[in-house]
Amino acid sequence: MNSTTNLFRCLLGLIVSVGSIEARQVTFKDPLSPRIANYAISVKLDAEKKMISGKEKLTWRNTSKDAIRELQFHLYLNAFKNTETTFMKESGGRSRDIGMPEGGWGWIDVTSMRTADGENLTPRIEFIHPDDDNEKDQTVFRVPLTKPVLPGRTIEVDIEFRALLPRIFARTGYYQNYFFVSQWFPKIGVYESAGQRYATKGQWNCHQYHATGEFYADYGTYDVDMTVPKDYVVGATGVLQRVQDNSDGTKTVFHRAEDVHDFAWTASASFVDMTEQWRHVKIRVLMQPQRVHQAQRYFQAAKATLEYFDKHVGQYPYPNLTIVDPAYGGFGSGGMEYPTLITAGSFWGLGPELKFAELVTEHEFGHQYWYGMVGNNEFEEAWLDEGINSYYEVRIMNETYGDRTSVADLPGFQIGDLENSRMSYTSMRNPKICPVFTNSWEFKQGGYGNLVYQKAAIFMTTLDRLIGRAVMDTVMKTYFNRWKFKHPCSRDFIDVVNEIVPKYHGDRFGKDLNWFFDQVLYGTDVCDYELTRIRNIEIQKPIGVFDRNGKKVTAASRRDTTGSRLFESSVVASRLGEVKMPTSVLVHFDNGEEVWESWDGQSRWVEFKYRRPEKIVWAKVDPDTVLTIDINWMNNSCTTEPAGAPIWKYTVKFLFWLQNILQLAAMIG
Amino acid sequence: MNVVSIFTFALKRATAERRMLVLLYVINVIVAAVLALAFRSVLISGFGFTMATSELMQGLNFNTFQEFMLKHGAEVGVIFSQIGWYALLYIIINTLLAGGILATLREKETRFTVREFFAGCVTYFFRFFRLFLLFGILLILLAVIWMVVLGALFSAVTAGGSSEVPYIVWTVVTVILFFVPLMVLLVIADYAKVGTVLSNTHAMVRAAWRSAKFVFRNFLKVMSLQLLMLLVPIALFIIYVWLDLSIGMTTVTTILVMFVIQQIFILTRVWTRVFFFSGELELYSALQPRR
Ligand SMILES: [Zn+2]
Repeated sequence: MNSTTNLFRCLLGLIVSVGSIEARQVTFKDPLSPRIANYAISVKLDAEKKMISGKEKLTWRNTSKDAIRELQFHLYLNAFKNTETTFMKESGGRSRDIGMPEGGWGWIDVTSMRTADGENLTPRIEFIHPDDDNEKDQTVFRVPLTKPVLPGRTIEVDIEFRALLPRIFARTGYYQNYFFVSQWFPKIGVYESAGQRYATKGQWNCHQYHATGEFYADYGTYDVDMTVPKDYVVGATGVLQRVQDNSDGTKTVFHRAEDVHDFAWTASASFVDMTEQWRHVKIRVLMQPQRVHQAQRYFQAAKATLEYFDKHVGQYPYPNLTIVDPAYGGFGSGGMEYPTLITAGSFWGLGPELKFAELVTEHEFGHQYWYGMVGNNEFEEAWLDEGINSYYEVRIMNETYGDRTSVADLPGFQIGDLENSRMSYTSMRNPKICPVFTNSWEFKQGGYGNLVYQKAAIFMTTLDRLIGRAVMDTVMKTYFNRWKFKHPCSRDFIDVVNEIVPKYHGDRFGKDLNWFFDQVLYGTDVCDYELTRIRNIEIQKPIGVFDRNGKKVTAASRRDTTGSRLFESSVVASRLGEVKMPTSVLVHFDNGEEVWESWDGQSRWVEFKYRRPEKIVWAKVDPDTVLTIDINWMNNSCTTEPAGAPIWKYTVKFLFWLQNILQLAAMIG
Repeated sequence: MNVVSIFTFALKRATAERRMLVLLYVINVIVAAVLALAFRSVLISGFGFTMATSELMQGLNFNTFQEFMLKHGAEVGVIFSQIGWYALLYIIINTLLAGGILATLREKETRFTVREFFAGCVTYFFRFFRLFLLFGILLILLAVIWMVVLGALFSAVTAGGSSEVPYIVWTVVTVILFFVPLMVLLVIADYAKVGTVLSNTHAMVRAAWRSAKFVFRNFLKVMSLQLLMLLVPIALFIIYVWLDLSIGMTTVTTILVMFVIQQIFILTRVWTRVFFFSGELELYSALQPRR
């Protein structure tokens, strides 16, 4: 390319870009993110054939110090192509408990790929499978470049594609006239230069679509226009620019999203479109008609969550949020996060006693922070979004809907979100199956959800209770502000903890908290402290023969004539698990006095001894339940006077229900 | 005699047999207590000296429950698997008791004695046991066939829906539809016993057949009496739930109070059985004069 054409190109580019700036509303005057991967996509939905076809212009900026000689792309929709894909083999055609509907295949083809210079890249497309040896998987491809992209330079690639949407069961696809279109366009991977996260040399990070785990992408802008049948309501990432009616019975909806790393959209003829305002955020709910009465639950949960994050973490900078209520038959698209757009889930007739709609709204909105703005690699370190987000889920749900009632509040059946999360981890058949720090697709024996979401939420709660809420909030605010619109790794999070905690606690937890993460994040050991026993022995007068003033004196009575009693009492607490955490023991005497003993929790057991006129009635290890990570709370306490009432309560209940069952059976006799 | 007067008569008649009700209630308690005490010993071994049980006073704490089940789930499982056998045992005991109940109810003027009650039990036991086998088989057959038919109907109606509403509505409808014929069969079984006691027949298949004919010939009357009588246990159940919700079982006192209320409720359930027999006996006598 000579300099004249280059100049011409620049001018033309300027005119085109000025023109489009005029046409679109800019959300952020100053970019919030590095804007590495920028897309302009025109996509048309064929609602009858369930197909989409699109033209995509990718503008990718090389922010590394390397000359880039190949590009790598995701073609996520090919995960649904046949039984031989890595996703289908790993999942067996099931995702998050929903099975693949018969014949609901989906695929995507890149029909043309050219650089802005007109170089045809199409014939050079080559499928690769960086995570396994599955030759049949077509979810990632590479394309070598004849001219490398030099550091600081930009490449423009024009791509044309055609795709058949799958029937919804795993996040994306269609059910009848409901379309949820995500992971849908050829999407460039993340080029990690040396020093970024764990990269020792510059390399593409572009994983295949797996059964477990999610995604990873660079920030950028998205200008997407979607052409759909005229009567369809469209919801999408970003801000609506304009709607254009076409002569062929379709309309085109223009959206622009800035400083996001993904774009998802939905279209349906049935949506009921509802909006409410929270400060600067326009909350839009796209509701299924039969569930309009449930919409308030979404609005209320979203507002409570926005409020909480704003107060405790940082500002939500985007002007809007869209909540999609998935269609019946399209539940597989529910409970998912996309930038400024989340999918929730509700059910006709399901009362507010079961907080599913609230919980899913809270959780998916929380991802706007942990995934959306703090863009960790979900393929490799999913705990950084799912675990941290589940930790906030527990905080927000419990604060908003009650500690004991935030999941279910039915008569005789109440459950809070912390209990729910703990149970998911502590009830695992093998909680040592895998460390939390594991590539998402490598949870081959299961446990991805229990560990990455719940165990991580629980150890974050333990950390919170160890260092205190105020310090924890400082940690999280620092981490958020430092890493928003970037790609942090686990090390980066731990570094923030190690920086903040000593500022407030000195060396109370040692010089750093690596010992904490080594055990709960990188290790598989379990934490289990036990109050092993309580002993009260009355000190009696010694009997036998004693030398007194050179004489032998025989004492025969053990009874103390003064009438005062003295006890030699002790409690033993044990560490049954391998995880070592600082803790304490609370000892309660029969006169109501209590003694608080601290224990570094290092040894296998510890004994505390007392010589007092009072007996020990009960004792508890970890009395404030700081160690939510403790796998068994039942053995944390011991009493010398077992409470009969709770046992009678459940005996009586059991008796009653058994008597009822018997009387029911009597109808047949 | 119209249905309402039979209903009021049955109310009085069942309530008058206090001694029989106490006897039936005691039998219920004895059978249930055996398993309940076994359950209690598992609770004691699980919760012995921990203070986590105090959590259970407020409500079912799920972490405590799950940690308990993790350690003692197998023992609890054994106890729950026994419930089926206890139910079967209780069905057979009630096959025996039905004879005594009906014989007692038949003799309106005679004072209740335990001896005569058990004499009635023994007199009809083998006949009623044959009826139990016959209706047991019919019940299972009907349940299986009806389930297949309803299942096919359900999937045909709900296939390819665009909303969960019809799905939920049809689930409710299907469940109700499932129980209707089974209830009718149980009513026929009751009238077969009533017929046997009133006409002292020994041919049980014929008794069942006669009962079926009786029920279908007088379908409206039989069913309106059944539904009218059914209102009583439903009302009692609602009262119980209301009491349970408003009292709760969170202190030693409320546990004791609820225990008493529960046992009174069980007594009313025993009474309900007598009440139904009483109404059925009266209706049968009114519509089918003794031969
Ligand atoms: Zn999540």
